[in-house]
Amino acid sequence: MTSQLTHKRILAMILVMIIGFSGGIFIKTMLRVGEGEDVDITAIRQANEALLEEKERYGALQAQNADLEDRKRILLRRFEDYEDTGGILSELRENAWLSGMTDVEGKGIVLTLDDKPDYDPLVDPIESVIHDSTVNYVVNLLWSGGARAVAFNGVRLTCVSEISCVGPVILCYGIRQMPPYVLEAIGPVDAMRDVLEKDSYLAHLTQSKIGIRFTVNTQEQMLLPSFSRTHDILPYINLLREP
Amino acid sequence: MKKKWIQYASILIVCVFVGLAIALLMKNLNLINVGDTSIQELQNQIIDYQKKNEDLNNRNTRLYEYLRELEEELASGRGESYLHIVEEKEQYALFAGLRAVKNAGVVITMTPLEGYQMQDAVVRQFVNELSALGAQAIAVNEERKVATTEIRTSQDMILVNGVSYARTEPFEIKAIIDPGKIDSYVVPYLLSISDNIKKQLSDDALTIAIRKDEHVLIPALNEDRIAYQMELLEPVE
Repeated sequence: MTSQLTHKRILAMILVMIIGFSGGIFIKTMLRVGEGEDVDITAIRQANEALLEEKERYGALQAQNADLEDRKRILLRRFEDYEDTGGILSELRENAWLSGMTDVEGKGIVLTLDDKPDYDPLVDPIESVIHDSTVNYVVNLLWSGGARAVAFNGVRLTCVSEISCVGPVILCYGIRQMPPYVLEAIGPVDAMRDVLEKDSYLAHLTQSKIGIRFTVNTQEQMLLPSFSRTHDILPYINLLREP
Repeated sequence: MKKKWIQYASILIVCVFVGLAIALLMKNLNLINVGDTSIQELQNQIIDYQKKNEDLNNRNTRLYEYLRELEEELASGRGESYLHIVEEKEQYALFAGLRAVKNAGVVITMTPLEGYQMQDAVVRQFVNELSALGAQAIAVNEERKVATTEIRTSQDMILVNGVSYARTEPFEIKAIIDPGKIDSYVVPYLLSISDNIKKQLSDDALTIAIRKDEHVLIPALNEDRIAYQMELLEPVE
């Protein structure tokens, strides 16, 4: 009988502890709600939904752009029969080609640049993070190696391409880019690889002390998008007057 | 009777505890579902996509208008459609740097002092800064900067579009840039860049002069430059 009573007391104590523990958690949760955690969750959910909408809109605009470019190509072919426009059309195509306003294919390389893993600003040198100057430096190396067309994170580089930074963020044509940074280049593969492999500054960046991650892969056939796939050129030529 | 009461009470308390535990678990699941991306990062991504959408929408609107005009003129048989094609061809030529252009802009002159050889990185830095400031046409020593332009040192020379310039000679960079920003922002910003470069290189390395020019003239890309060699590219038809 005494033993039974002791068991009940132990059980009661455990139950009281559980209630106390649960009550504590409950109160803490209520306090967090008071601090606005739920408000944050709602805001994040709304922001996620807004982002999804913008992404869907971008996909729709890309599809629309592809349709319009196809229509344009078909329409321009109809002008090839006319004697007076044939020459203009071939000039148009050449200019589109030279200006980066047409998709191009060819053999090339894909290289990626990424920050040092687990970069710690208090310990690691500033070079352990990719800067706009690093990307510009590599792009310049690619041109030096004979690259004929380059895309940065899927956007074609042109006469006016600007790769700059605002604080820690790299921008290309004013749009934020996130690591890993991918450069795709069509051109003489061996010459481009040679320039990259022999460059002393790149060798310095990729040593373990700095830790920049850098890879190069050859692609037998790659497609680089036209600048027109992402941008209109008018805002980039509206200041230019012919002498 | 008393024993039963205790059993009921125990079950009730355990149920309350289980209920609380489930509620907390659901709350944690909610947190996991919204992901670990911060609200600031999400807002930045939204702004990026809004900008991309605006750019692409502008492109599509203009392309649509262009196609509509071509189709109308083709259907009416007026034979003026080629004017639109010529206009587009010229826009591409301007964008590619195939035409000489003029407008207000800035001129940067870098003169190496005795014993100093110009560094390609300094020239590149100014060119990149000008591009970031929105320059629509740039020339280095009268050599038009195009998509494929490389600026690199080769012994005592700096190569621009494959053309050699002595590193002991002055380098002049010209750029056409938004006239509304030149005095208020562009020149002061370039002066601060110039000060930083001089601090890094020491005062007796080079002089840098930056001035506004109302009539900057930028030459077209010379036709024998490597940019015209497109043999490794196939246009997608």
